[in-house]
Amino acid sequence: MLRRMVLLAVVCAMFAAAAAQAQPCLIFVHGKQTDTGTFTNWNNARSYWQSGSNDFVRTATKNFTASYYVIGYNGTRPYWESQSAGEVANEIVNATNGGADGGGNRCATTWAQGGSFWVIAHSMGGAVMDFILGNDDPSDANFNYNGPYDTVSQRVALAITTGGAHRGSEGADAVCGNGSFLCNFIAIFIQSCDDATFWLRSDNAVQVRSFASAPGSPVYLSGGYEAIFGASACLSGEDDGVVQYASIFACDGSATASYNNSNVCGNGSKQEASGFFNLDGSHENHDDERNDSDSDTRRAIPDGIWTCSGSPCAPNTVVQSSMTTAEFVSILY
Amino acid sequence: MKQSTTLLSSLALVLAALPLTMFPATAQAVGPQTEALDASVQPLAERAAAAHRAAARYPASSQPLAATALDPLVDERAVQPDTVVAPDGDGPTLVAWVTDTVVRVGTPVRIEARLDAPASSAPSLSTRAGHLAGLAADVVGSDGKVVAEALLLDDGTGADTIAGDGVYAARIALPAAAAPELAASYMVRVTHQTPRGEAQTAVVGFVYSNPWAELTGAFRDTVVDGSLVVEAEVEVRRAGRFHLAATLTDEDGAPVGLAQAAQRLETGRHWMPVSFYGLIFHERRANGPLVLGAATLTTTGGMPNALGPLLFDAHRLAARPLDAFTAAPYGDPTRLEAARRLEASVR
Repeated sequence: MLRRMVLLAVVCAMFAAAAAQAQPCLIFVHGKQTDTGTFTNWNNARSYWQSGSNDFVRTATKNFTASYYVIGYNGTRPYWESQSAGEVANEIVNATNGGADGGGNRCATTWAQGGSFWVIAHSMGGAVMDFILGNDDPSDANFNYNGPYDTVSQRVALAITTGGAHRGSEGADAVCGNGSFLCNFIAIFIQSCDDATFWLRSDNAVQVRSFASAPGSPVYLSGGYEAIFGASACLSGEDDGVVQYASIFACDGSATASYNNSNVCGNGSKQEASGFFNLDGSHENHDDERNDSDSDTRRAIPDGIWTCSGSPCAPNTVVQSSMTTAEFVSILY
Repeated sequence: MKQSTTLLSSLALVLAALPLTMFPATAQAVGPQTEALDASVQPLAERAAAAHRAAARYPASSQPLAATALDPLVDERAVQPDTVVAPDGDGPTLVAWVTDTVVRVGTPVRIEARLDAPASSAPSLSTRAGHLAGLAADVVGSDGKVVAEALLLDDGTGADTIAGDGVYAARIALPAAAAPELAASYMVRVTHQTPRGEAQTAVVGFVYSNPWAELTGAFRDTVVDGSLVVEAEVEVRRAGRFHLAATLTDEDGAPVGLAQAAQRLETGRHWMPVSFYGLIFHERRANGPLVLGAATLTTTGGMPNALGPLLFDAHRLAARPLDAFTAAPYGDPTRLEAARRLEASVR
């Protein structure tokens, strides 16, 4: 009897291991922070993806059947600094080498063993990944600026950003300008126009696209259109309460252009010549996008991923009535 | 329990506790009632594999551009005004901008602003705004320190060209202490004090740039191994690492391709090449005369980079037959390996 149980356990473990190996390892990169907690304490970085019993990582990994690695970096520093982009790049390479994150989690298969690695980045994490993947080639202005960007680009099959601040945030403009009454609600919680905020403004002088080239691995874009009362009054077009659509979807032209689910820029009108692709829009706010707490409507956008009866769904079509972004990620592999 | 306070969770919690009547209506997704709840998604690995295979057709340093695309070099330098509505909702809207996103060290930065009447207001509002004594502006570094201040005027003096046209202007010379060795990013705040005494502030910015080398304006071109190589003459004042980027357009100004290169150069004059991969010309059937639509040289080695000026239509290239160029895909091995792994994962 005992022998049968041991045998069963071994078989189950083998199936689980095989399943994990067939799936990509998901590497999570958080967004802007008001303190250095996620950099100095891995548990804070892990908590970033949770809200009560809701857990983005658990849902996106299909209840942990896919392996994962959670990165913590200094989210108070500019997206390009050694403690942000440099730290993220080094941690990604560690993950692909089979190293553990601060919680002991490892990718099931290393790069050398043939593993596949997907980065999931929220908010400022999008700008961090743009800087890394857009400076991965010796011809780039900031090639391997403060980390092994080329190795990251070689090993990361793709990145998915949710609420990515690719073109900055008008919320950061408002904070740094001590803007209007309504915008100051944002200022209170960003606390100040700190270094990270300064570099997340929506003018071209600080934009990541001015200091990076097309990403060496494709970046897929999703984001929310559930406004936050008050704060959204300071943002152009649809937004998630912190980041406007022009930024979430890495559009070319003005970073403050007004877009919605019907007219947001397609894959041919991105901040770089290539490498950015639309997925969809969700009725989530900036907070919901990273903590699996709001199972809500999802809509198709131009050049997005949803298909209706074998053809691309018309923009603004409701494609799901109740699905979080974490669940959405889980159906992509 | 979280030990750090994230912006977003705190924001959501406090906003949720506030009465909704405090806030104006915000943008909502308004659209057709179309629903396709049986919609499905293709495995992302398949899409990503296709993206890698498409990208592998060209070297990373040479990208095709769609004829309808914005020129990326020009777009990155576009002046982007900041527009701020009045705090009380019925006052004028403040619009401010700098006239150049890159300002050479030692050159004053020109700042302009105007006050637009809200659409619902009487025309007299803009007239009232035009009677302001001026708009205050300051220049702030990333450390939060103010390095210069000025008053934007609309009186036809100094930087302002036309009195009373509603556009306020100032030219601000930064102090020598604000000059970086390479480059620095500065923020400009333009503030309008409303009649109620509230501050209405627009925020723009610029790179204060001290490049160590410059394009002389001389270019030459040739075909090497089936690709078009354009060389730019560079005058280097101080040795360093430099990045050259250029776009090609057709005679009508439609973009064709983007190319870049980076290398270390010593002091003196050099020819620095960028290569436009030959396949690009076949796919666009670009066998007519071409123009170097935009070119710029950046000094790298620190962030922010010292961005150089953009040269427009700097060089005209003679027409070449398409068979001068390679039609073979580049076959970037890194991209092809990425595609292979992704395809294997969905089999």
